[in-house]
Formats: sequence, C-alpha cells, structure tokens
Amino acid sequence: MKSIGVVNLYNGKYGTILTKENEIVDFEFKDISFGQKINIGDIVEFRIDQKFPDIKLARNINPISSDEIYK
Amino acid sequence: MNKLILLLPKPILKNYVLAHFSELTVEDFFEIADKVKFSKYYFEKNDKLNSSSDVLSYMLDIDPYSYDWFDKNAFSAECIDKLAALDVVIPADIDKYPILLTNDKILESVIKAEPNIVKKLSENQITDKVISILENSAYIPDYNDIIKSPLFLNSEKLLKRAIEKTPELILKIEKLSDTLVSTALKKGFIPEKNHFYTIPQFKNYDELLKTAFANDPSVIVFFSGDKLSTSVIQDARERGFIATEEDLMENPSLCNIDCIMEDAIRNNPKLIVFLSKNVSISENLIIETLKKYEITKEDLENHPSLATTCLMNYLPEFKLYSSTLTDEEKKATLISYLKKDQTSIPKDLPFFNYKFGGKFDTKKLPELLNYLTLSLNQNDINVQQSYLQMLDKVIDGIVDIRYKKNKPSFLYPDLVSLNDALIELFKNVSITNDFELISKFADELSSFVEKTIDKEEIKKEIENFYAAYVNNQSVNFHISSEFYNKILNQHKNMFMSIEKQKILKEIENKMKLTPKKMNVILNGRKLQKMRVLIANNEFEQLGVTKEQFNFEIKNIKNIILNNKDIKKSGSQITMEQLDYLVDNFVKNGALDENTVIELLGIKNSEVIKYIVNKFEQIKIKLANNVMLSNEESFISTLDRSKLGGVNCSNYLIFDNDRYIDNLSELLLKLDDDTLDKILSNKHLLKEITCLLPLIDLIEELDVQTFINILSTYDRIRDKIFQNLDIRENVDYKDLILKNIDNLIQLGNAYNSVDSIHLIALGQEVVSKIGEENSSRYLEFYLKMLNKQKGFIPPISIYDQEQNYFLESGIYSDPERLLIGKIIKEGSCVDLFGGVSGTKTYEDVLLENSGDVILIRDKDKKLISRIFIFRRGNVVQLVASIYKKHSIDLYKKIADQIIQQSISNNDNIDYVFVNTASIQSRNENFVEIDDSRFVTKFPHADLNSAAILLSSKNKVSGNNGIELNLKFDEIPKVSYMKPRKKILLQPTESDIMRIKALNIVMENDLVEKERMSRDFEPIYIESYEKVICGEDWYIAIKKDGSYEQVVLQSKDPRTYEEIEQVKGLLNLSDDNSKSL
Repeated sequence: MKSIGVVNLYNGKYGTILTKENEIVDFEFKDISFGQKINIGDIVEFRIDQKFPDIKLARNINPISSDEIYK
Repeated sequence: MNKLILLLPKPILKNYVLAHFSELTVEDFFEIADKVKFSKYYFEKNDKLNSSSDVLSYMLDIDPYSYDWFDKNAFSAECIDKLAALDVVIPADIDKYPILLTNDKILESVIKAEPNIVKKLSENQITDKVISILENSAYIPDYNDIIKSPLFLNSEKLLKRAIEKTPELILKIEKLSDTLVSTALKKGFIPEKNHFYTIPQFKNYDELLKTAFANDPSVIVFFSGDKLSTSVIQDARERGFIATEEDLMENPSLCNIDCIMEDAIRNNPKLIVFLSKNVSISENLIIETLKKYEITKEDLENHPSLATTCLMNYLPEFKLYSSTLTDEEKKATLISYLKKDQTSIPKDLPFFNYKFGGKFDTKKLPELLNYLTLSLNQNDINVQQSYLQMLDKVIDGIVDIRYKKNKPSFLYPDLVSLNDALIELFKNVSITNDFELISKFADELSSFVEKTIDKEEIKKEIENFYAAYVNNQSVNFHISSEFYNKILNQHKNMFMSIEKQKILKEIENKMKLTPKKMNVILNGRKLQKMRVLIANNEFEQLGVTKEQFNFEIKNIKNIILNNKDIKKSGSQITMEQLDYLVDNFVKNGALDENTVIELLGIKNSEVIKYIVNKFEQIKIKLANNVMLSNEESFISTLDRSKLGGVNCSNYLIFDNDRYIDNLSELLLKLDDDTLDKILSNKHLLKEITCLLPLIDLIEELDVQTFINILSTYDRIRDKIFQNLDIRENVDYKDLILKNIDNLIQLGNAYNSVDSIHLIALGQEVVSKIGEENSSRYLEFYLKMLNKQKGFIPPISIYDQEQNYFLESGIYSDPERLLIGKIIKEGSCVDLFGGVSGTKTYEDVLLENSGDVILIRDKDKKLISRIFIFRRGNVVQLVASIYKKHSIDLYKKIADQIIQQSISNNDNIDYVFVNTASIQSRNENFVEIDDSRFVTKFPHADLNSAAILLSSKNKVSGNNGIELNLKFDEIPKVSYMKPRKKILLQPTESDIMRIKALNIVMENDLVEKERMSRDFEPIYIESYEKVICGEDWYIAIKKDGSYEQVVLQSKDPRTYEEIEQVKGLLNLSDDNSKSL
C-alpha cells in the first residue's frame, strides 16, 4: 500500500522515513525507484514491506513535491 | 611588332608573319590575330605562343583541336573548361596532356572512348562517375586497378568481371557477395585452408567451404552447427583428417565430437587438454594417454572446462579443480588449511577461482580473514566462561524472537484479545446464568500459563470482575489490565522458559564434550567393561596375561595384609579371607562394601573402603589397556541429558573446530557482491566476529543469517544504537549482545527479498528454495511462463492404488521449480545444481523436448517427480534414484503418451523408462541396452539400459520387438499446454500471486515502479465474487464494478476464457478497472 513520509535520516547508503502515521520505516539506496538523489527533509511516496512484527522497509521510493500530496 | 608591318596588305602581312612566326610574341599575335588566320600547326614553332593560355584560349574558339599543338603549360583552368565545354574528343594518348584529366567532363569522355586510360589515372582521379562509365563499358579491372582505388571494390559488376577473368582476385576483395563467390568458383577458383584464416569472411560461404573441403578434409575445422554432420565427419576422417591443436582452438565444437577427439588424442596425447564434458571416449584411451602426457596445473588453468570432464576421475591430484567437488569436500579442504593457520588460505585454491566455479575474487580473501580471525585458546577457562555468558545472551535473544514470531498464534496474544474474551464470557454467563463457564475459562487460562497460576486464584479474580460487570455492564480496563498483564507475562515467561530448554537440549547434542568430561565418561565405561572382562577371564582384552593379572592380585593381597593402619584398627584379616575376596572380585569383576563386610566380618568403614578401593585400583591400573569400540564410545542424547546441562565443565562452549567449520562454510557461501559489502564494514566487524563460534548451534543464527548481518552491519548497528543512550567508553560488543534479537531480525530484514517477488512464487515454493535464492528462481520462472508448447503430450493420471495424482504439461506451475528439492535436498538437478544438473533442470522446464510429471498425494502435496525426455521417436521416463516407482505406474504413463501420439498422428513410436528408475525388473517387459539412452539425454544418473513400456507397434497389435529408434528424427507434432482449471473460489494467495506476477512481468520500468508502490493485499471478503484463471483474475466488487488483471500472455485461450466468464457474469467493459 502506498504511503507518504519525510526522509528523516539518510547517509547516502541507507536511512529512515517518518511516515504520516508517525512510524519509522527503514530504507536503503537500492529501494529508491530510479536512484534519484534524495535528501533529509524530502517528501517521498513508497510502499511498506513488513518483514517482522516490528520491522518495516520502504520499497519503490519516489520523491514527490508537496503539491502532489494533496492530489 | 613594327607598326608599319601591320599596315601591310593582308596577304603580304600573312607571308611575313608566317615567315617570322617563331619570333612573334604574344602581344604581336594578338595585334595581328584578327588580320591573319593561323593554322594550328605553326604554334609548334613558337614556344612563347604555344605556352600561352591566352593564345590557346583564342585558338580554341577558332579551332577546338588546336589544343594539340600547345604546350601543357598553356592549359589553364579556363582553357581546360573551354575545351571541356567544346566537347572535343580527346584521344587516348592523353599522356601529353594529363592535366586535361583534371576536368571531370574531359576525363569521362576520355574514359568512355578509351576505358583503358583508367590505368593511367591516379587514385583521386578515379571517381564514382568513372566507375560507372567503366561498368557500362567492357572494361575488365585487374589486381592493380582494385588496389589502386577502393571504389572498384564497391562495384560488384566490375569485380565480377575481374573475377571472371582472374578468379584468384576473390582473395583480394574485402567485401564478398554470393555472386562474386559463385563467379570465382565457377571460374575454377579452389579455396585453400589458409585462405579461411586470412580472409575470415570465407567461412560465411557454404560453397567456398564445400569446395575447399572437397580438396582438403582439414577444412572441416571451419564447419559448425548443422554443417558438422555425421557424414561430413566420417568423410573427413576417411580422407585422413586428424585434428591438430590449431584446429581445436579454431573450432571448439570439434572438441565435442567423440571420434574427432579420439583421433586427435591418439595422434597427439597433449590434445587431451581439449576434451569437453560432452565427449565420451574410452577409459583405455584416457589411461593410455595420461601415461604419455602428464596434465599440469597450467593445462587446467588454460583449459578450465577440463574440470567438468570425466578426466578428473583419473586425476586425483587435481581433485580441487573438479566441477564435481562437493561442498563437503570443499569445506574439508578449507578446514584443513584453517586448522594450520586461521589467517591464511591459499589464494590459488581452485574452487575459489572464477574459472572453476568460484564466486569471488580471491585477492580479497586475506583481508577478510584478517577481520574474521579469532585467536582464542579453547583450553582457557576464562574463554569458555565468557562464551557461556555470550551463549546465554544469544539464547535469550533468540527466545525473544521466537516469542514475537509466535505471538500472533497464541490463544491470547495481547491485552485486547484477553479483554474481548472476558467480555464475551461475561455476556454468555449473564445470558445463560451458567457460572460453570467461569470455571472453565479459569481452567483455560491456568493451562495457558502452564498451571503456574492456580486455577482457583484466576477464578476468584474473574468472579470479581464479573461482579463489577454486572453492576456496570463493562469491565474497567484499567483495573483488569493488571490481571491481564499478570497472565500474559506469566505466559511469556513460561513460553520463553520452555523454548530456552528446547534450545539448550538442541545445543547439548551439537556441542563437543570437554576432554575432561569425555575422559570421565569413557573411563567409567571402561571400568564397567572391565567387570565383564574380569568375570570372563578375558585377560587379553585387559592387556595382561593371566599370570600378570594374578601377580597384581597377589600384590594387592600383600598390601592389605601388611597395612599397618588395618592392623592398628584391630581388624583381623587372614589370607584365606582375602582369597575369598579375590574369588568374589574375579567372579563379579568388582568388589562392593557389603561383600567385604560379609566375607571379612569387619565393621570398620574406613578399612572396608580401603579394601574396596585397593581392588578397584587393579582395574584403574589396567584401564588404559582396555579399548572401547565406536559403539561403546558413543555418547548418546540420553547420556548427554544426564550430565547436568550446558556448562563449561561438560561442553566446549568455545570450540575451535566449530569456529573453523563455521568460517569455512561462510567462505563457501560468499560471492563478490556480498564480500564487498562485508569488507565495506570491516572496521566494525570485530564487534560481532566473536559470534562465529556460536553460529549454527541454533536454527535462527545459521551461517546465512550471519552473512546477512555481516553485510549490513553498519546499517544494523546504526539502527540499534539510534535508540540507545550511548555513553563514552561503552562496550559496543556487549551492547550488541544485549540486542541479539534485533541483530538477527534486522540482518535478515535488510537482506530480504521484496515481498512482491515472494508472493509471485508462493509461500510453499519460497520455503523450499530459501528466500535468499528466490530472485534467481523468479527470473527462471518468468522464462517458464513463456513456454506454450512442447513435443511431449501432457498426461494426467490418478493412481488409485497409491492415491497419487500425476500431471505433466502445466508449464506455469511454480512448484515445478522444486523438482530438485522434493526428493533429496541438494540434488544436482536444480538451478544451482552445478553445470550438468542445471542443464538438465533447464531442459526439463524450458525446452520443448523436456517435461516433468509432478506427483501429488491425496492432500495435493507434492511428493515426487518423473522427468520425461523426447529425442526423435523415443520418449524416456526418468525418476530420481531415491524415489523409484513401479513399472505398472510407468506403463500407465507410457500408454497415455502413445495414445496421444497415435491420435495426433505424431511420430513418438516408443516410450521407455530408464532402468535406474525402476524398483524391480519385470520379465513381461523388454529391456534394451543402448548407450544412446545416456549420450542423447541430459545428465540424470542414467543407465545405458531402458525398459520398453509401450510402443505404437504393440498398441496397433504388432508384438514384434524389432525396434527402429531414431533419436535424431524431427518431432512432427507440438502440443499446446493444457490450461489450469478456472477457480471459482480462489484463495487470497492465488489472487495475490497473479497480481504480483503482473508487476514483475511489466516491461515499462516507470509503470512497474508505480504498480509496485500501489501494491496492496486483497481481502476476498470485500468482494462479491472472485474468479481466477491460470493467468488472470476478475474480482467483482459489491457495487458491481470489477477489477481485472491479465498477465501478458501469448495464449489466445486466456482471452477466450475471460470473455466467456465475463459473458456468463454479464460484466461489461465500462465497469472494469484493469490493474
């Protein structure tokens, strides 16, 4: 299911996203759809892939503009 | 000129001028030119005039052909242009005025008139126009023409003429064509072998090859594919062809031909290095050749495919190069090196080399070992104790993982479920007034916590809550949650305690006993054994003679008799009494205190103990001589369970052998990518390397998990520590150990495969192939989906006798991926089964000439498989050697195949089963021995004999056994795959699989990402109706609209089915939504 959140940690290799629901989701560079450059603070849409009860990974990450959130 | 002369009458002036022509200047000329007409011939006499372009230009206007009397210096560009414009026919001896040829028009006209003039032209002068003129002439170019200008090579017409005259010119032509080649051959050109080397294009022309081959059989070296037929090979050999080293290097496909290789090797033993795995040559020849030529390490390095051949069976010294080297053998090799030096493995270990199946660059190995090395002394008690503590933390962490994993399946996973159950109970009680329900519930909760909380205590609490419920019609969650937490915490404690015990039990059986404990146990067994040996007088097994034994007895008797302390104690012991003791000792193999009391009549316990010990010492002294068999030395699970648990006295918690074993296994699992990821974390690895000796003791911390952790350790570490308050001088290793559960879970999560891929394959398949391999299997599965037809008719059988369902031809069934895993884990017929096995896997699942019958039991669980291969008019069935079937079952399959061959007018004439696949022979069936049952089929542990199950002849009533096996015949019929039945009540995983596959198969990457991002689970109950076909589904919503997903399919039946279903359900396209 598609989710939206803000990149709150990223070192160029891996990081975390804070979702609208205030959950922390992990991701790494290869999960960014087309390897776009993203920065801390960027808004992104993605899919949550739940791997263990308390581990969530973000896949197919795509940076979006704040306008797109309201579409 | 004198002005007076100009005034002379014209005739006189003319005479004068002509008499003095040679003296005239250009100025003079033009002064008199309009008065006197000059003939062109005169200009030869006057160098000034005949070299003047002005004069030439003037004369050209009068007489175009006057140019011939002028010097070449007179030919200015203007004059040349004028000459060209006048369309003067320039004669062939243009040598005098080569400059004229700089004008294209003149050039073309000259060449038209005399094409041979082209020989005098320079490269720049030969233009496309010139070539075109020559093409339209009868000009035949020669070698010099061709090498002068590349434009000749562009003219097939001119080249053809040249070749017609001189066929050997074909050797000079860079760009060949069929026309030129056939022209050369018609005109008698005979290509030679060396031509094909110098002009590689020659190999593209069959005619050249055939002609050359007719003259020289060694030209076969340039044949490939269909051209390299049996008859061609035979012809070449009959005319004396023996392949040389150059030949085999030029055409490696010759290395796949048995007879070619045999001849080559007999002639030159060194050529054995070109042997390919597809070749079968006699054992005698191999042995003889190896006597004459010694294969070296360099040979293997230069010809790595040798490692895949049967030759390796004869080269035990090169075993480590062999492609058949098992993982166990590789591991054993690594262990032997690491035991000598943990920091060093030879970089040139062949099985790590890419050429011999290695998966990573061995240059990186020393660096990796540097970070994974542990130099610990297993005899150091501090090391053992530290590892015991570590193990304890690891177990706690894993138990935590198990708790979280199992929690959703607990009867009461959380407060809410417990509260809901309680509310439900109270509702039932208040309706039925049956208070027994509360007692039952209390009993249930007491069982839930393994009776560690008394049922009555629980019942009392619930009754209190019920009382409150009756008053308020609700339960105060704040109050009741304390009770719930008590129950849940107790359950958790019990669960974790039980799991911990389970883990310790498992570990106990995997760990090595300490040497000391081992000694104690074995010595105890020896002493036990000695009782019997002594009682049976088996002195040899005691390592002594009868006399020596008696001597020991005599010694002991004397010692006891002369012992001062015994005498002081007042105990009177006679020799006769001691003899009685000896008799008893020898009879029973031991002496106990009661016997001593009885026989000696003494009561002094110290004396009694002394005597018993003395006799026991005889046994202890002889114990070293006693041998225990393997069975007698075996420490069983039961023995271990009596030792008192996992501790440093009983077991080697840090076991150097286990550490090296784990390290070896880890190295064998690595590939370049993973190794690079691990090395990128090298500066952190020391924090977790300590765990290596504890890997594989517990299921959750196996080698693959540890590799997952190593490769993403930086990420895991950051994740774990981001929520902790890290102070200075903190012990990171200790922190990590306290977070083992996170370490393991995050390691696996960060290396996990996208769930969409797992859903596309299905949980059943993923659980068997392993998540880490699922991406590769999925790639392969997509290729399987492309297969629409095959040369083997599909069969479907229900075997009543064994309740088996047999089915073939369902190419899209993902369970087919498991054909290497169903029967025996680690079978070579698998995607990662090694070169031959993988080829068989591909043949069965992707090729038209292969298929597999999947066998399922009554619960539709996959239990076995039978491969089917077709070669020409022969079909061969092959089962696993670990799961053979009865001939009757194979017969049923064969009969179905032959029936279909007849009804479809196919040319399958015979169906066999390989003798390696049968449980027992049956004299009612004919057995045929033919090496082609092996050589024509892929690797599948085949025998050269097969049983004839069914044939067209037999079916049509002809019982003759005359066989006409044509393995190379082209199949007449290909069979469409049968369609899977449409499911009217599919499961959610059926639908999700199609949805996931739809995403995986999407070619547009942007769209694929969007679809992935939007991927959601499907809940069937939210739909009115869901119908699922083999490669599509339709899900009708409650509002009448519907979703439709159709996989990219080349099968027209897909769309027919969908339209049919939509028609039956009255679904219009307006209401549809394709996903």
